[in-house]
Amino acid sequence: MPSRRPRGAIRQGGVVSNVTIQRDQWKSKVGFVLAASGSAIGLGNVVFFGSNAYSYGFGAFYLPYLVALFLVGIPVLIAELGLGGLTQKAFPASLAKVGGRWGEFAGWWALLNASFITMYYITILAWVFGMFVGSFGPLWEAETATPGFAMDTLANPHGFFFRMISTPWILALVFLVWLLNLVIVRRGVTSIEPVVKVFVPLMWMFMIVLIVRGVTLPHGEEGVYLLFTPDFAIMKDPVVWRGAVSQIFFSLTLGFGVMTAYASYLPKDADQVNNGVVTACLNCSFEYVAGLAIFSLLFAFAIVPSAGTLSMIFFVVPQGIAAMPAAVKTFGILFFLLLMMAGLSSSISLVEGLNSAMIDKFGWRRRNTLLVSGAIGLVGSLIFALPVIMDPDLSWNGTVGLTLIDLVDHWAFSYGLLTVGLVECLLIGWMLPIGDLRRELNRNSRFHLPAAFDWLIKVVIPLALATVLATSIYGEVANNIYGWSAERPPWEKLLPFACFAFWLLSSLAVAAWFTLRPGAQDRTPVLESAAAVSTEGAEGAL
Amino acid sequence: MRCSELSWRSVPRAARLAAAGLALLVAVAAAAAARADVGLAADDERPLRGEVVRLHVSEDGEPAPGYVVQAVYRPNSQTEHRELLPVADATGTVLWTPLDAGPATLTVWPPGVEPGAGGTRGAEAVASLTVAVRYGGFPPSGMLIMIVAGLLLFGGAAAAFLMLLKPPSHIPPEEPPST
Repeated sequence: MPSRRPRGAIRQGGVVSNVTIQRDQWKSKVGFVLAASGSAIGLGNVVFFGSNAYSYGFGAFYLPYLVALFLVGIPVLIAELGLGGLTQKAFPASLAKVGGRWGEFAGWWALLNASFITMYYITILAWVFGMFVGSFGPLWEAETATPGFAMDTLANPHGFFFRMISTPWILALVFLVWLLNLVIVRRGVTSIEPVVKVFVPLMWMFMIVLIVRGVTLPHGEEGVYLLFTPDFAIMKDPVVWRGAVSQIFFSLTLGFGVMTAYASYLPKDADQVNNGVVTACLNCSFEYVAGLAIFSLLFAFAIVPSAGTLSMIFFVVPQGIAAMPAAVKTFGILFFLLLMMAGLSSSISLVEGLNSAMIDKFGWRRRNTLLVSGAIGLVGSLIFALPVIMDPDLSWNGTVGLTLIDLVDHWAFSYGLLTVGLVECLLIGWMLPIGDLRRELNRNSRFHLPAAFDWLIKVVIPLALATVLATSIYGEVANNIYGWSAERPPWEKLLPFACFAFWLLSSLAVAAWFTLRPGAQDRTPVLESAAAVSTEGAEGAL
Repeated sequence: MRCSELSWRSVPRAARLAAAGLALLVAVAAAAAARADVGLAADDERPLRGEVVRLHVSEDGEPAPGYVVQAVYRPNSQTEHRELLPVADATGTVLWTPLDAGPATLTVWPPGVEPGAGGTRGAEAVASLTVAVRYGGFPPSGMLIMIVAGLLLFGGAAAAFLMLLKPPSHIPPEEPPST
């Protein structure tokens, strides 16, 4: 029985010696699958899927999305899980075994990129928490004018949302959400497993309730037709395919290092192919039902989402719920509770991804690691929440507007994740090499990966990701940097450049610092160590 | 001295006054139109794609001719596209045949304004209405994708889950090493 806590590494002359740190392990196969799917199922499934599907042409988006799932999502997910399972290490240490220092650097950069996302993700979760509290009453009540507040003319839930995010008490909610995250991950998988075992089934249940309500509304079924009916003319536009690939990456939590961290708590001979398939299918099934629920509401109430991504959860669905003839509060509470659970099950995985990597590298005690990463993360989340508190007019245009969140999200999400995906595919595909990894995975799997898997990881996916990134950069150069507008005051014109520079330089610098710090270094080749373990037998394999 | 000033001063004073008066009248009328309570209604707010629907433009509750109506399909999306509809007739009616299913926003513009992708020369829409255009039935291609996606996703999850729960002895023999 493995100990719950890793033993600390021993410092010798400033260098952490290569001691064996016993890792926690999932207590059941179901626990791992629920945690992995809970990590994948998050706000992205409800918020970003609905928003992207709307933005990229409904049915014109869904077919490319399915293609991206099977050709990009599942192969990369299996590779990430395989890497974590075979190395028993978090993302940087896993990639270090494949690509040395540069691999480790890429791994740290991925986690720091994910940390940026975690910071604003938790701010958004705090807003969800605020809406959940509001859904017990004030959210659905008639609007009252607030003198001097630009948004007081908007109907609820717009008005409630903008007032809520511009009040200082939202900072307390940010603190509370961070505290919840730290409490859940305080004992690693031992404390994460029971939480996801409750959250994930409940999320499914609530979503099914919403879908039944949405589809049974007058003309609600037309929303379903809209979601699935392809439009081949729109599908020719590369931007739709770019949106589909980005959605799959974000939705499956790829490029965050989370899946590798979770898989590192599985035995080396776990069936990672099946783990990947079941996690991806559960995640996208949830997106399937979320799409049905959201689009049926969207159609039944003829609602047009605002330009901002967040408008889907904060305005569109609540607006639909508010227009229901009965049980408005019940459905509202259910919806925001669902979002909170989905968000929490994802944010804990993001927090765990960074913490497991720091524990692996420096051998720190989990509690200390959590305190350090939690404090820095809390400050970041508060910074994301502050601008609209200090200046409510930032939420112009009826959406959350051009805030720090939009800008950082653009770089960390649109570029960070995909760049990490590209680098990890190149490392795993060409330096491992991939054929050996596939045979190693097949050794423990009932479903054997075909040889085409090698070509997907080595050539097809890197080419697809490079194309997406290149077209995005071209767009950035041709149409000015994201967020830039000639109509803005001078200091606001600088903000997009400042955000880009801060994101890139700080993440690269801290990644380099982590990489160069002395720590536990295990350079045993991935497949050599895996082969040694597989001969020990498959007893207790998950 | 510029040519424009020369030509303006060469116009008789009475004509200049008349032109100025006319301009003032147009400005007042435009301002009044902007202040008027313009409304837009549709006979069916869930119209069918490809079937004619009547739109009614009103000004202070009365039928308003001359207004321009524009349909914006899938507004605020990357696939947004626009269609300029005929000018409202004497009864303030516009006939619209929706080209595309999905949410659409109909905007009303003051007479004489030509809303287009290139901007509207500073004018603003005076009324709008959001409708949801129906397919009227499940298109076969959509039904096919829904069924296939459902089978792949739910079936895949169920099959992989069941396989995962089987004891390890069910693992088939390893594939032969690739050559």
